[in-house]
Amino acid sequence: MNNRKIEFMVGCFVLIGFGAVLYLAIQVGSVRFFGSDSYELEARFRSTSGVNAGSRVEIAGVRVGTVRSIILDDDFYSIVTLELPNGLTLDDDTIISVKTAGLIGDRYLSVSPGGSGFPLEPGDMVVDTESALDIESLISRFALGGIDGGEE
Amino acid sequence: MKFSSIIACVALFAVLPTQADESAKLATTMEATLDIIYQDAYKDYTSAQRQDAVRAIVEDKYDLEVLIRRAMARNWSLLTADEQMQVHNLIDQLIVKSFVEGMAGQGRPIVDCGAVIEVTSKRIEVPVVISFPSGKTFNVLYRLGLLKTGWQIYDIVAEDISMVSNYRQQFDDHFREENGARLIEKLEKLLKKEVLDVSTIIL
Repeated sequence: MNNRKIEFMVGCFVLIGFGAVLYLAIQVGSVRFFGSDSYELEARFRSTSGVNAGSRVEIAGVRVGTVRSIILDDDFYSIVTLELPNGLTLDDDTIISVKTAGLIGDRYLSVSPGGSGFPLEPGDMVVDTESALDIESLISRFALGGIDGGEE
Repeated sequence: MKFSSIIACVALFAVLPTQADESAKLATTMEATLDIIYQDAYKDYTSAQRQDAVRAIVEDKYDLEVLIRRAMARNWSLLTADEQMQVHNLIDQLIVKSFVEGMAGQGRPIVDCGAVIEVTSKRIEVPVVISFPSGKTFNVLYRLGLLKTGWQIYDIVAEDISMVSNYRQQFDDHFREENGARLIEKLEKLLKKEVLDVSTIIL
């Protein structure tokens, strides 16, 4: 009788352990059983230098989403997949820009919502984008002049 | 197929806007506006006359309201119909005035319109390199969208900075604290400035 009680307790402990491991796996893997509470959009950039999977997506300085992935397409454009909450509706004249937090901070994506009245659908691609400002290139162009070497 | 049907098809394709023509159309429009500023035939024109002539050329080819409404975005609906018309006219005048006055005193630039880049079936881009005699060169990307009225410019991206994005930010900031009437006041004040170029247009 005493043995059975101990075995029952051990069984419960093992089950709780399995449950905890399962919960951890679900949380880490962001698995959702009852539909997703977010949707994905794509954006096409000339350059997304400094932006990585996991980078912030902001509107008016408020984090609203995350960069899921970045790939290079056949025309050498950077295609960024963004994850945004379902409650956030963006119109098709939305502009997405690569910005820098401070002068040398992390790069993130800033979304400027439009107002066309035609909402973007999940999976749509935003082509109105601003790439990261290339400070080195700007300095070399404006400090050293153009390649023609003309006088201002 | 009847002969009249063939004629109708030819006529239809003749008026349908094709993407490839857009680079040439843009180049022609830009050269025509530069003619107003630099050609001897217009040397006696006053600044106001030049602005009128430039506006007539641009409005003949493109609908600037597309650009203005995109910059205003959702703020456009905060204006009354009368305010929308006033804002449209004022920004229209500001764009032309800043162009005419900004080019004054500078040598005529060489405008090189590149091949059309198809982004989607309804969006294209035309890269343009503007080279001034001083040696400065600017890369400008004209973004065009296919609307009922044909291909219209909806954004101008100079050195990776979008004109629409820049002004949308300023309009957003304005409408967080102020209204359409105040915007009209600001635009009218800007228009009255003696010398105006794009860099001075800050709301």
